[in-house]
Amino acid sequence: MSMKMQNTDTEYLTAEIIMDLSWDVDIGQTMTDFFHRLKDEKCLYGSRCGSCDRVYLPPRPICGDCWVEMDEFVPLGLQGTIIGKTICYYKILDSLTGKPRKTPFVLGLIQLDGADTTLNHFVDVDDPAKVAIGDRVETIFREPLQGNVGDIIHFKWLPPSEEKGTEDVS
Amino acid sequence: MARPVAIVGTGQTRHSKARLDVHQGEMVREAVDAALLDADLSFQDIDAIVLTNMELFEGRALPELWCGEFAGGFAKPVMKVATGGTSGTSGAIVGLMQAASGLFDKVLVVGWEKHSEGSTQTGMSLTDPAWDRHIASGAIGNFALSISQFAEARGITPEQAALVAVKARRNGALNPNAHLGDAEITVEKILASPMLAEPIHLLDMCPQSDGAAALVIAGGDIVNRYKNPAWFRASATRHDQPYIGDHDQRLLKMRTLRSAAAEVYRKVGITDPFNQIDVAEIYEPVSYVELAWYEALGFCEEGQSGRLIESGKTQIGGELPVNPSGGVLCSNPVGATGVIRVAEIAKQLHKKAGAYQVDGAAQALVTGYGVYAWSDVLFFSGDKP
Repeated sequence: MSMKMQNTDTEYLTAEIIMDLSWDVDIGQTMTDFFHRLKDEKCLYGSRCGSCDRVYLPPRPICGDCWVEMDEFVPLGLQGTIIGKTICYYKILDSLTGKPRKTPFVLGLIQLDGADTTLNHFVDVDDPAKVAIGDRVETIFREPLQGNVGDIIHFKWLPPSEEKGTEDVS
Repeated sequence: MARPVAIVGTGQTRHSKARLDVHQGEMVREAVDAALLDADLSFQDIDAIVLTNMELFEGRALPELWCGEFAGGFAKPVMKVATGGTSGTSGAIVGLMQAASGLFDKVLVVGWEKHSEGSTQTGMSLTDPAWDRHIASGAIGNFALSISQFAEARGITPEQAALVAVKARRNGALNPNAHLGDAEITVEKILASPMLAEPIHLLDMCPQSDGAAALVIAGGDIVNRYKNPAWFRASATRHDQPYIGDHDQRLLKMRTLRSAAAEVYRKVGITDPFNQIDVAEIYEPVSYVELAWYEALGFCEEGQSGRLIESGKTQIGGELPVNPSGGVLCSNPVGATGVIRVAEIAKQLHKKAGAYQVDGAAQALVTGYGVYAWSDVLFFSGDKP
C-alpha cells in the first residue's frame, strides 16, 4: 500500500558536516622568494611595477593595472602609518591559536613605509582609545621566524611624541 | 545589444534567519515556482538556467548539481555563476546576455544561500592561503577599517549612517519577503544597539539570511504578452585586484563601481543620475556604505552624502528612492542578494511592489558589490529600447 509523505509537526532533522581536512597549496615563485627573504633577513619586500611605479605588498609577479611583469623587489620599512582603524568587540578566531581572540582588540589598515598598498592587522596598544588615523606603528615579528605570514604577529602602536623623536633625527 | 530583452517574472522566498523546514533545493524551488507563476509560464517553457550561489558558505561541493534539479534543470543548459557578493547580479547579466544574444528566448536565473547552515566565515578567509588567512578580519572588521577612513575624510556622523539603517528597516517593514523590518525603528535604537567594530553597530549591519530569488528573462515576441516588462537597457561589470589592501582609499575611490556606473550612464544617456533615475536598488551591506555609493554613483557631490540622507530624498516618496525594498540591510542571503536587487527593480517596473511601490518608476538602477573587487551595474527601463 502506498502512503503519502506526512507533513509532521516534529522537529526537522539536519545532517551534520564536520570537516577536518588539510590542503598543501603551492604559493608560487614570488611568495617563496618573499618568505625566504623574510626568514633570512627579517625584512618585508614589496614588488615595484616598472610601468606605474606602484609598490605592492604582498609582492606578486604581475601588476594588475598595467599587466606587466614585476621583477624588482624593494625592501619596505618596518614602521608604517595607520590609515584606517577600528576597535572590534565581536569574537573572531585567532588564526595562530585557533581560539577566540580576546575582545576588545584594535585592527588597523597599515601602510608600511615604501608600500603603496595596505594590510589589515592587529594593533598592539595598551588603550584602544589612543589610536588615531595617522599614528605610526612598528612591525613585531615572531621569534624565531618561520618564513610564513604568521611571522608578523602584530603592529606595535607608537605614541605620537615618541615617534616624532625618532623621525626628527635628521 | 543584439535584441531587446526584459524581465517578465520574479519570485522570492520569505527571507529569514533560518528556514529549518526546507533544504537548499526546496528553497530554490519555492523561488522558481513563484517566478514561473508570476510570468505565467511552466518549467517546460524555460530554455536555459543560470544559478548563483557562494562558494564554501554551506560546505557543499557542486551545489549546481544538487539544486539544478530543483530549478527545473533536467535536460536544459544549466550553469553556475559565482563572483562573490556580485554573484546574483553577475548571474542576472549572464541570463540577460543569453536572451539578448537570441540563443534562448526564456532564461531563468535563480540565486540562493542558506547562512543558517554554518560557517560562512570559512568562505571569506581562504582566498590566498599564503597571505590572507592570518590577516583576515572578516567582513565587519574590513568594513570598519575602510569606513573609518571614509567617515573621517567626509565628516560622516554615526547619526547620518543610522538614518540609512532607519530608512532600510522602515522600508523592510513594507516588504513581505524581507528578513528584517521595523516600522518603529529610530536613530536612537540603531545607536543603542551593541557596537560590533567601531563605528559599526549591530543594527548598522545587514543580517545573514536564508533565502532564494528567481527571475524570468524573455526575448523575442513572447515579451509582447506582458503588460509592463522591465526592459534591460545596459550593464557593466568590473573586476579589481585581489587583496583588500590593494584598494587605496577603498570607499573613497571605489574605482570598480565608479567605472561601471560611468559606462552604464554613457550607454543609456544618463548625465544627471539623481534627477534622471527614478528608483535604485543598490548593494549596501552596511549603513555607511550606502553613503559611499551615493557619491560613487553620482547621486551627490563628494562630501554631500550625509546631507543627502538627511534630506529624505532617498526615502520612498522622495526624488530618488534608494532600496525601497529594504535592501541588503533587511535581507542578505548572499548568493541570492544580487538577484533580489534585480527582482526588486523589476517589481517596481512591473508595478507589483505593493506597499513600497515607487510612483511613476520608469528609469531604474541596480548595483552589485563583491569585496571591493567586483562591481556590477545594471539599468532597466519601462520603455522598450
